[in-house]
Amino acid sequence: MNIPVYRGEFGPVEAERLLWRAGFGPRPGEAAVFAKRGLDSAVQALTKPGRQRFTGAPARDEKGRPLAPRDAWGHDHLWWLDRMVRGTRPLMERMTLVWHDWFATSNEGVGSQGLMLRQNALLRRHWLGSFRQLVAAVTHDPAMLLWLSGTENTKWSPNENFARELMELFTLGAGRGYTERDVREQARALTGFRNDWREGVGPTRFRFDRERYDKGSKRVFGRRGRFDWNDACRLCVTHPKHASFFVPKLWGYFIPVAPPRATQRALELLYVRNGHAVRPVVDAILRHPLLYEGPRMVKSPVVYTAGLLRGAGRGIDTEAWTWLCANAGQQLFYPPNVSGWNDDRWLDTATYLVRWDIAGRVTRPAALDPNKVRAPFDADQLVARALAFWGDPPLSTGTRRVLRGYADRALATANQRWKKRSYPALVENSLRHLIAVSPDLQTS
Amino acid sequence: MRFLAVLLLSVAALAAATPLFGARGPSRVQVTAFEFEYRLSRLSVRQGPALIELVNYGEDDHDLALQRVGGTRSWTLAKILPGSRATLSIRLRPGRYRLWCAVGGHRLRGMRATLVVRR
Repeated sequence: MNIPVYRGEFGPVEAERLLWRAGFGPRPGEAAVFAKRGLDSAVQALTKPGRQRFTGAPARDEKGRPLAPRDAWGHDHLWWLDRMVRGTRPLMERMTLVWHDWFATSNEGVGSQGLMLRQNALLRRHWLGSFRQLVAAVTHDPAMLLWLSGTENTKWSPNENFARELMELFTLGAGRGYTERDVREQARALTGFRNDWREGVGPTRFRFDRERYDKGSKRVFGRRGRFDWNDACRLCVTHPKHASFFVPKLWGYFIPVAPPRATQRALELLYVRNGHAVRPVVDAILRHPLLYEGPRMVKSPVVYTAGLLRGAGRGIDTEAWTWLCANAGQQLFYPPNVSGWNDDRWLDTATYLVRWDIAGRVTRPAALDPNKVRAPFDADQLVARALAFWGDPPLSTGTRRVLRGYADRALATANQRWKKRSYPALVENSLRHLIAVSPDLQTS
Repeated sequence: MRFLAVLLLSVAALAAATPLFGARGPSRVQVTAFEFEYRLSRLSVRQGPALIELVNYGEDDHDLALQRVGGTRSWTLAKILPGSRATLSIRLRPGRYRLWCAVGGHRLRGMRATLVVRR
């Protein structure tokens, strides 16, 4: 079965969209470079990147102090945002974000930024690898064991929390191919994990203890055996309904409309035939015509913020990005619940206002001083200069018209000499801000 | 002369690149409070300036008291609400510091910890 591949023109507009969907947007000039490579090479540069490097100044807080991701509230968020902004493997960070949402674990319930960072490293290690291995690794990850009561699940007192979410949210989907009895039996299979508790540290020494494991026979998905936690994961990922859950869920992180039936079926086969490897599926999604010709997609607050910082050539130099992203609806390491963030709910009157603030704070340090900078008294030139600030992102005709109209009206009010001198720079500052909050930059 | 100019330029560049608080900054410890335990992000830190952050992930109010073993002075972070946080800026001397929650009987119920300060 063939999976359709985009055959249209692959210019800067298409490259720009690819870089946003599979990363955090282009740095100035990057879309043109990717366009020159062509679709195949551009996708390959993302799925098989070179060694990770970080460009620009290391992240700092506003007092010039290095970040303390383990030890200071919000610095975990800044640490990861910095990787998104300065890293040279954007798809790796984007996939880590996908898995963070997929296996949504919140520090609200874990209470240890150190354990959350350890989980983050695990998700990054498995970014495009085997989903089966990822599920197994997440199952005995300490943060997950705390979050979904894994170490409270013993043969004497089975806890169904993780077993239920393993099937409902991680591998099969609600009510798809399992029964309440399967939940109970899977919970028994997942028994055996424990941890110690140490004063001042809290939970520590996470491990599997056979004494706590229910060695008895279980019946899962109609099969009988002395299943353990590894079997529990294997049974879910090899379940006939897993691929039809996995493909549309993964697809939805890149393309905001459901895949056509034939494409979905072909992607499911591709996934299963490659031993549940993620890379071939992501590779195919990134080449699919719907990514380039389909509707636009709202950027999440973190993607939006990281992208603006990349576009403006600015690194992490303030703690404000943590609370701004939180107020816009997305603080890293704190998803709202075990189902992760709701991608249909990013924009409302409150969160839009925060995005306005984010855009203003990104542009502020580079704001033109009207007493020092002589900008041209010409609306078209001001729009062009403001666009150049963001690396010339593609804008719709409607947005260009609105920007031009604003610049025209603002310049028309300059009725004195000092106004004629200072207004152009002020208008250019405003245009930079308006471009950043336009629908064109809030979506990709 | 040319060598001197290069040296001066290098020193100037280094100075410009050096952050305000040195490369390492102050020591930092996060203390997360639950009912009824403290979890420290690290159990030992260097002597010198430090920021100790209390984050309340519990359902009750909690505070933080701190005293060096053998010392007489104690420091406190006032009681904070669930979901909030506060930071104590302090200069730590080598030794062991006891940390505890001074609210009600929280200390007896397990909200205590020890922080080691290295030279």
